[in-house]
Amino acid sequence: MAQATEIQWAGTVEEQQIAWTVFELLTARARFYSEDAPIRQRLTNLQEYLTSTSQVALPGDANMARELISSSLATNHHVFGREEADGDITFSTTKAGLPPVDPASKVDKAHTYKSRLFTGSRVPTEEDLQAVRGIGRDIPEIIMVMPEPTNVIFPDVYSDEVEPEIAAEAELFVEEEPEPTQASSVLVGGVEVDLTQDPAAILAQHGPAFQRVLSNFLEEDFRFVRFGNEYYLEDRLERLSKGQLKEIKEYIEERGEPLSDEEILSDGLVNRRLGDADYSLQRFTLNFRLQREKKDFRFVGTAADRLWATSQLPPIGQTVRKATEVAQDYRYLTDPELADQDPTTTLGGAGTLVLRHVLTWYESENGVLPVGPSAQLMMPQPLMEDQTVVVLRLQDPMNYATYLAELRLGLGNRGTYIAGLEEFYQSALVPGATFSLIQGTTSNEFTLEYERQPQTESRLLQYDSRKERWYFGPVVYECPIDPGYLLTEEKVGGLNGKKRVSEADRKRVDRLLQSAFELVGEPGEGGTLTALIDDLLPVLNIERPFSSRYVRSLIQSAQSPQFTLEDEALGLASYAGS
Amino acid sequence: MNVDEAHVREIIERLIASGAPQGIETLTQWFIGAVINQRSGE
Repeated sequence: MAQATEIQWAGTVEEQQIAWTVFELLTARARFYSEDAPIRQRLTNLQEYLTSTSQVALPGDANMARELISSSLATNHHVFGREEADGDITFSTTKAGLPPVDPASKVDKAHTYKSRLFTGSRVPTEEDLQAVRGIGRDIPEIIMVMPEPTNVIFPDVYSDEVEPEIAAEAELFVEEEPEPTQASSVLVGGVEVDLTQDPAAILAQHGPAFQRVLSNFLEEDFRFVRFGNEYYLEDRLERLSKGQLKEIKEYIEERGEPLSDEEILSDGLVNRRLGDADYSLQRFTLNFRLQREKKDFRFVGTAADRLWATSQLPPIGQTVRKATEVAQDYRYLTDPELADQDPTTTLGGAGTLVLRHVLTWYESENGVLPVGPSAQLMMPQPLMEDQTVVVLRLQDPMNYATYLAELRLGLGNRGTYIAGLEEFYQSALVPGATFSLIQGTTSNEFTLEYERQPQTESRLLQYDSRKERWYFGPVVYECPIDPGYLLTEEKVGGLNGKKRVSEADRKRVDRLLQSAFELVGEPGEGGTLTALIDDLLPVLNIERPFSSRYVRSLIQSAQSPQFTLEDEALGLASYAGS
Repeated sequence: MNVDEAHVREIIERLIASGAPQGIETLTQWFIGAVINQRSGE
């Protein structure tokens, strides 16, 4: 065997012969053993075999023969292992020509799972736990370094430089320095606050003054950062890499709608969690970092529901007219004298507000809902100073649907309105329908509700955008109706086959009012047309939104003498004709 | 009445100990506490 020829046998020639013979004998019966499997044989059996076969020369005396075999194999201990058990000696070897090794000794005990799990284990101390939360680290000196004395609010606070002359003087008269007086009151925002009071009383009475002083300071101090109305330390916030920001952006765009910070944290940051910090700190970090990326992200949520959209994400609500145009159309809402007070009621004991509204053609076509002064009370407040959109979550339990809508906040002379209702309007309502908007559990949650009615079919006003003409066609609806606002053929049949007013005429409210008189007015003496404002409103609201107060002010305006308010109580007006 | 280093230190320490961002109302409470502590310690 190859192994046998390589083995260097030790001992005398006789001993070498015995060892070689025994090795050949053992390996012959272990043909199918693995290379390192032990091959064992008792000394008694070996002696019996060698004596009987006479392969080697052994002494005649059995004891001497046993002793010779034993010593021959023991001399070649690099080939044979020796064990003693049950009063007999057992020799063993392997096909590889090496003494067998105990399998247990081959196991690497230094790197077992058990050793890894328990070596050096100990119960974590409070310090360790704090370190995991990221709060046990020493406060870096950079945080505690006070800023340069550029603070215009408190210019004298940080000045610790002492002029040499004064310092020298101070050394001379150090013993004459007066004892510090224990002040029991401080002046906060011009008001003297007695510090001997209970802290709760101080907070209740002077909290806002202290808050003003502190928030002014925090805004100036670079060590503090703010998101919404929460503050933390810039130094303690993790940074988001460009890759992570890109990942978040792509995730929002893939989902196709604004996502909350919680969703982004749990699903959007696939590759990495934010450090070991607490969840609230992770949320703050994410919101603060995204807030800084104004080019790519815009905040569209509230304090409770922090939603983020990207610059590439299409706006919710595709109005027929441009968003700025709609906002301009609703500019009368910014004037409390012109905006109607939509009827609002409270629901149950929780003070939930309910807004009842009649849908107009303009609102139905653009999927919008004006937010007048009373509706404003129901709307969520934006969290950011420069925020122009708040995303609303609308439930439609009647149709088992949910919608996202945008509360577009008016700035300057632009009115506030909700966009994104076109699907609800088209699927459930017709112009003239009444429905309710009910406040939900959070500030940006609402429910859309209407009482389902028996099916009704009417010929209602419709617009053929291909032929660019008005026409009347049968429409089946199940929603409650305000009959005054329903645009039936009987009421506004004069529009049939006509074109829409031109853009130039649409911008002139007097021309629209004139057209409305011509459509629904009753001819009077001398070619005048008279109509109730309530009858003019549905027609006026086809091309452009108007409130009852707005129409009344137009009729009474000195700039349009052709219109006269005949009866203020009835709301009866007349048009003298062109 | 100014915000001084001792007040800020207390606010920073408490922010770090809390391990979470805090609203201005909470920070104001801490600020008042720091002012009272400072005056009583003088």
